[in-house]
Amino acid sequence: MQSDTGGMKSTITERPYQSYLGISPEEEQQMLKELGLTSTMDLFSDVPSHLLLKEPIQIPGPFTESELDRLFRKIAKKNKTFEEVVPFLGGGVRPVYIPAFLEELMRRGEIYTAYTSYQPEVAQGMLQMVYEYESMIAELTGMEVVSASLYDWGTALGESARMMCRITRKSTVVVVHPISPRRLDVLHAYTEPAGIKIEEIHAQGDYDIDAIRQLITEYGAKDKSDQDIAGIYFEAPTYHGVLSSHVDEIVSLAHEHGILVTVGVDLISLGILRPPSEYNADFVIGEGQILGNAISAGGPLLGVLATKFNRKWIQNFPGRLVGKTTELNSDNPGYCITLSTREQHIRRQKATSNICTNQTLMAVNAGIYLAGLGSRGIQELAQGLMDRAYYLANKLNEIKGVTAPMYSPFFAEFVAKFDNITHNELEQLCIEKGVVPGIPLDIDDGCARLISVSDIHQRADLDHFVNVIDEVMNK
Amino acid sequence: MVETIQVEDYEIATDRMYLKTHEWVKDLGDNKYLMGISDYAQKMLHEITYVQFEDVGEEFKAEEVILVVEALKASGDIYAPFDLKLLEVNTELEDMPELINQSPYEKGWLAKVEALSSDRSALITPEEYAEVVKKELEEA
Amino acid sequence: MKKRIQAKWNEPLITDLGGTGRRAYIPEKLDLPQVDLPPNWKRKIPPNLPEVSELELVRHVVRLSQMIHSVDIGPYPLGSCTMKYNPKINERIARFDGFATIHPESPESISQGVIEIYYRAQEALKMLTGFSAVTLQPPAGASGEFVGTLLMRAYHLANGDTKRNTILIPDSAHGTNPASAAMAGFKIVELPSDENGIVDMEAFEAALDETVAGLMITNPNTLGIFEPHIEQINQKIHEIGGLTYLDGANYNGIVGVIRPVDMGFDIMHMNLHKTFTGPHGGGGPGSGPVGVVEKLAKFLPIPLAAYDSKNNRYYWDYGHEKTSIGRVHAYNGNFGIILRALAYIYRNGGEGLRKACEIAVLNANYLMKKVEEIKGFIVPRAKGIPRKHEFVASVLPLLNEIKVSANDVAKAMLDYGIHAPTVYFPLIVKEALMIEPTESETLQNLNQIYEVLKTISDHAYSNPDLLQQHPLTTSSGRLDELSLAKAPVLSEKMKK
Repeated sequence: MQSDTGGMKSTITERPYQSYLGISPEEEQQMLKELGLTSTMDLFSDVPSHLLLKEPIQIPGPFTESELDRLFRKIAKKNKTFEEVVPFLGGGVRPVYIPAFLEELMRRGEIYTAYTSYQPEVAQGMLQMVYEYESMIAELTGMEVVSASLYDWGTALGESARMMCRITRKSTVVVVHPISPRRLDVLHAYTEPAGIKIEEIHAQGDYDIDAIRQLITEYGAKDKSDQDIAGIYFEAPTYHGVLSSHVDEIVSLAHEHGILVTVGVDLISLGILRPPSEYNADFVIGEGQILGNAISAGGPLLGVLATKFNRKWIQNFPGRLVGKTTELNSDNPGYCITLSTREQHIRRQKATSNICTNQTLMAVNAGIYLAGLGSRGIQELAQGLMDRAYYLANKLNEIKGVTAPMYSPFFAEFVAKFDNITHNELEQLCIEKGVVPGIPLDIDDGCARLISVSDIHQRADLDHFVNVIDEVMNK
Repeated sequence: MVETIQVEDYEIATDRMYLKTHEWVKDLGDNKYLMGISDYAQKMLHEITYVQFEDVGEEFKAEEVILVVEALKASGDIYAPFDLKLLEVNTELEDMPELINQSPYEKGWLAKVEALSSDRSALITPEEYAEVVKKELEEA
Repeated sequence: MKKRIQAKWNEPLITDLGGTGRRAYIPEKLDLPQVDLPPNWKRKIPPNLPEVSELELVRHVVRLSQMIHSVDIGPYPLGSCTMKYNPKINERIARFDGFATIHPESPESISQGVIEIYYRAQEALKMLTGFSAVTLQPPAGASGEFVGTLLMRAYHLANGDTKRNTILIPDSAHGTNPASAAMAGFKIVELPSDENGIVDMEAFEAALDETVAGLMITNPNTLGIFEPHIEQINQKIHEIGGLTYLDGANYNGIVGVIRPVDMGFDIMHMNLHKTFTGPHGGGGPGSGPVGVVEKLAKFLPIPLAAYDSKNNRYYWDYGHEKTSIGRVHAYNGNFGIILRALAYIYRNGGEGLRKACEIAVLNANYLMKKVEEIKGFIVPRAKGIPRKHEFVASVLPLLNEIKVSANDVAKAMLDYGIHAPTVYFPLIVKEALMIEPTESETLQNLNQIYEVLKTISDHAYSNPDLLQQHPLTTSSGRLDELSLAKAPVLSEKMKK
């Protein structure tokens, strides 16, 4: 236990927490009298008395509001913000510029203090916003059905793998690398207890298309009864940033043998990139944090999952769905949660997922952000990211001892390799000079890192990064 | 019209066998059977919205789920009474799932199956099924 | 009782608003060379997103926000969800730049404050619950349950105990319990409740055998009743080599007054969005930390936050990576909610949390006593036993006498500006209304909820048919859910 928290306590006010209670000490006495009791602890008379604590638990507090404000401000200052150290970090999430109107709207208590729209008649605003989000993600991905939200990209992958196995009644999922090691970890946690086998096709940069061809050819030659692949998963761009020329081939190879396809995408990239519907992906997943949600040290995030409408698939879909209907007694449109018999509160152990509380607020935020961007905005944003990434890679590549990019073409992320330096040295020296040089990658023997740009980066930030790397590499 | 036994508001057709889990199984001869759900089952589910079929030709072991009947706020799994092969499903239900509510024993049939095992011990008579329904009603 | 009128804007869909070329958020364009995409990657038809002005979008969202019942608008006695006040200081803190803008893969040296928050939250929750270790990774309660059952699995497998494939779960449990256990690969054995709404001990003992991996139980249970035999139950599970799991959905009924570990639990998940005021966000985000006893700590997800006191440095500890169940979230869970919860916990201290619990229990029992007096309402099971933070009423008499259902009562409540309780749950109570007022509601609000229910009862007995028309003063009337389920429209792309 850390020494400075245990005894921390306000000395200023008695009961500083009273503002959170609806009942005053006087009213408490009045209510007890009405109930014929002398103490609220009488309401615990049914609990074995040795279980009841005699004293409050000695955690820090209570504090007044201003003390609390000061304490957390102090802790927040220990983190280096963008003004002090510019991050070039992505890998699935990335910092985004949040327009002021969006931040203001998301402060509305009407929105963030509601819960799941169990009573649609008093939750039309929330339901409509979720439906709008679903509609815009459908437009972006070329799909038709969009989950009201899963926790994050990683859990969307886990859920998608389980769903592909349920639909096909098979139990192997092929993972085409490069994918994020974090998402792979989540996939393992989600599938291992269900007896699902994960078959990995390792690669760096682009997919190993030869290995994929070989795997599928051998699979096709097997007896029908020995064919056990439910689905295949790849990321586009790959985790190493690459926009591969093989996506169409992978999807058609898979479909030839009844294998379902899930693709993981950068949702902003779809402003200018072909939507997954065009290369016939069955399920699209991705991270919705980048749609205007604060990065917030990695959570809350937004797991996106979308597909074409196929009733059998949808009955196997995890999580909530909001649909559009009308009032019973009029033609007025109305929105409600639908197809809930898939869900845990009705189907219990046979549910398609255990998810209940999800990431609705992030979906609402993402919907407003997408509407704010509009058709033009999302194209400009996506193009702007790509322009930044290429500018940065080209400039870095001019520096002696730096290879950037290692693989191409790419979108907003690329791999750079730094010679004769360790990850630790590079990171430390860069941080001292005010940048974070991407995420360390476990490839090659050298120091390869995933460099990511964001719309928070202005040209000066990119040039600053280049100067820092130049100084570090050629000191 | 099918002859029935009446238990409160529920009809039980007497020309077929049942499962304790509320499916009916009608012998068509030649190891082929027609399956559906009882009047009691459809009334417990209320308005049926969709039937989730597996592919015709698939084989199932006894007690495996062969299809799912979805209603607005509930859903019911239909179990295989014996090892079987799915021969045919009632495709009319795709557009009109309400047929199950309107005519559970006739137009609302679910699947035609072929038995692949000889054990019929899961099947009970209409009289025995009537007792199952009575017992459930008492417990409710 | 006066009705309340909710805003009704007939607001069009955002996709039907706007024009051509209107702009709300214009991304910054830098003076950089424009890169050409590889031709095979070019999107031919740009995504058809709305083109609205900033004010147009602001009005749209503000109007829609006025068509949402929320805690900030009125009473929200939704049982099992603990819809308490969400303190505004927490919102301010969560938006500090030093928290909101940090990338989760920031090197430790520049994210000391983030790890410190995780560490402090772990420590505070350990102190409150009595457990030896806490993971903050699960992003919701159900995810915590999944972690908990994965821990059971890992523990038994590490002991070479491969036969344990069942989990015992009372029939009054939330649906997430069996769903999570099934996801972790277990079979579920349902334990019946007795006439008092608690675990039937005879049936429980009959269910004990060497296949039992563990027990998942909610205490106080979903009827708001404290399981009187909980220590005995946990002991019996331990005797047969199983593990005991507490679903912390109802932690608000005992927080600060009882430590879960003292009841004999090995594992517990907490719902930070319930007990510790993370706002519910219209359905999420939540946060579902899991606490465990010492022998299970090495199986927890990686990493845990740790503190090196010698160097006064916080760090991520991957020390148990080899035995860990891995990850259930790509990063470390819902930091923003953990932060709010920690702020709430510190603001209250042990003393304030205990008081909040006491008042929550007082409010529930006060309201229960009044509701019991209403004609057509009963509070079934365990007569005379105080409830904890919530109670379950039933309108079975209303249904039997005049064909008015729990759903009708719920819909009528909406017209009086009160959110309906949780209906038809737990499954063991017919026509259930599960009511949890929380400590945030005032005496006037409690009386108002009572008056509304009484008015509805009076109206029902004088004219039962009229009740089916509710709600009338809300943003929409009852919806055609049946047509939607038969022919789903799940996005504008599916519109016929």
